[in-house]
Amino acid sequence: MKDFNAIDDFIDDPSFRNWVLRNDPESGLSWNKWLVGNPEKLEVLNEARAVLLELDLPGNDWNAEKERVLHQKIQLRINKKTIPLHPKQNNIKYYAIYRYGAKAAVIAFLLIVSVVGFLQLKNSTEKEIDNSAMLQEGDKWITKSNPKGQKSKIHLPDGSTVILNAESDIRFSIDFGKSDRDVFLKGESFFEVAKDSLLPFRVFSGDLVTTALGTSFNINSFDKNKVNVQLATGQVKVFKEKLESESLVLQPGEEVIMEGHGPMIKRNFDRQIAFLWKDGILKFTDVSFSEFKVTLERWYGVEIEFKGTPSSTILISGEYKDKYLSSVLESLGYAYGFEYEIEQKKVTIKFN
Amino acid sequence: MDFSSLSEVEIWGLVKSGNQQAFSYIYSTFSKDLYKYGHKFTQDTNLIEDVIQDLFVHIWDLKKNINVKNSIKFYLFACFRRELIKKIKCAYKNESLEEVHSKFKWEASFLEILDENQIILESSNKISQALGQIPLRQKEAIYLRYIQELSYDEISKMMDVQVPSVYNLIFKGLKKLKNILSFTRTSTKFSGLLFLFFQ
Repeated sequence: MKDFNAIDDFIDDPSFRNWVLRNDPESGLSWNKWLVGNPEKLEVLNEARAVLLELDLPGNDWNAEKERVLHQKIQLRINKKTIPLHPKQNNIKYYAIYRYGAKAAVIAFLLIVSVVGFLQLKNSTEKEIDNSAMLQEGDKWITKSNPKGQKSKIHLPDGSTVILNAESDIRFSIDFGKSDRDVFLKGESFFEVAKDSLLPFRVFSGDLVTTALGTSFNINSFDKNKVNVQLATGQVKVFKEKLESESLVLQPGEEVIMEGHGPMIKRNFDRQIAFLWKDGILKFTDVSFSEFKVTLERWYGVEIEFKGTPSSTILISGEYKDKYLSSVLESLGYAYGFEYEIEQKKVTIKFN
Repeated sequence: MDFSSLSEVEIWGLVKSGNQQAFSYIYSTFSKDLYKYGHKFTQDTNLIEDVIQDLFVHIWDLKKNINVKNSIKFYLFACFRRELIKKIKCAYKNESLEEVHSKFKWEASFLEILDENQIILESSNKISQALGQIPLRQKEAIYLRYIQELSYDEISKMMDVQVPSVYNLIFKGLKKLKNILSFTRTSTKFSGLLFLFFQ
């Protein structure tokens, strides 16, 4: 080694900097060895070390969280310009795909956010969405759909899983997980989102957008005039597409309901019953006969016909786990006074 | 994809073609350095973060027109420095130049940390006081050369001075630092002697 007499001799030496600033073990070893032979240089070496550390110090409060939040802000501003939001307004080609599931259209957004990671969405004046990217990437969508009576579990490329309810579909780009994690949903899904500190997971559902990171959540969008987002744990932000500045932040146990194009309303919901469907539990809580019919049709994939007129004042309650349709109808028929017939996929309910 | 095996020019090529992953890689590689460099000019962390944010959004927007010849870091640092100084001037435009300068602080944050943790670290304290006496441009040149390891050529372009001036700034800064430190060293020894004398 050359002569090291003053602090600048040390500071100027790359291996010295590697040791002090980057904790390089090899450099550290050789400097410790050097010190054994040059004990009188300890003081000046320590000064040089302190100078480097001191110069490097300001801004050491930078951390993974700061990095993530700032990256999200940047991503959001960039994506505003490149990623299309809802394709249905402007794009006829995809309109068709979109309408496929749209007849199911209540949008209830159930969100279970298991990992803390709230997105600070940046208010932006850039409301115009460029749909040209959409047109170019037209062939690159993957759609998964379920008919009535069938649920399925889907593994997304980023490691997230989706439990897709009956009569529901989700759609995502084949590049999902690379430049974005955007999912378009019709119907209902339970999402378990893999952690990704860089890419927010976004679900576009009717006119609502829900954004979260490392999240598990359930989205139900069956009624075309109603969107409902329910959050179990964590925190998410919900906003009407193109109205990001007027977003609502949900806390666990809170939901957002939006009917038609009306305002978003925030209120509490019961977390005990919200996510039962994904565990195969069919539950009715004071529902009318017409709601009961729609639910059963979707759950079991059947068509139900009423004969006679059901009472409009009776409300049905009951809970069934992994039960056949016949046993559900058997017990409810007894309680609420109807008879039933099951013939393949056709069910007739007779009121007396 | 493992970007670390690619050269900066190759990574930039990917960004130019619209690869957001490559762009994120650049962000995660340099955001910390930029943040720390920003502290050489101001302690307003919000301002620093805003400038970093604008910088990256800008770069993405203009990616097709940006040619990186060999160092992405140099490009980022140069743009960042220009933007940050502009923003600081703008933020403090109603104050006198002297007030602005007093906001270009280096050391207070470290002293605060020590204070908060009640760490009494005599040598660091001595060093930070010594660094505090060195003119800002000299200190910035030393920082860019030895902490960020930019080349003399790059520093000269960033600070808008000739290459020999960069050598000069660094040389003068280090010389002054040595003088201050050797002075305090002598005075410590001297007080040590006094101590012996009184015993």
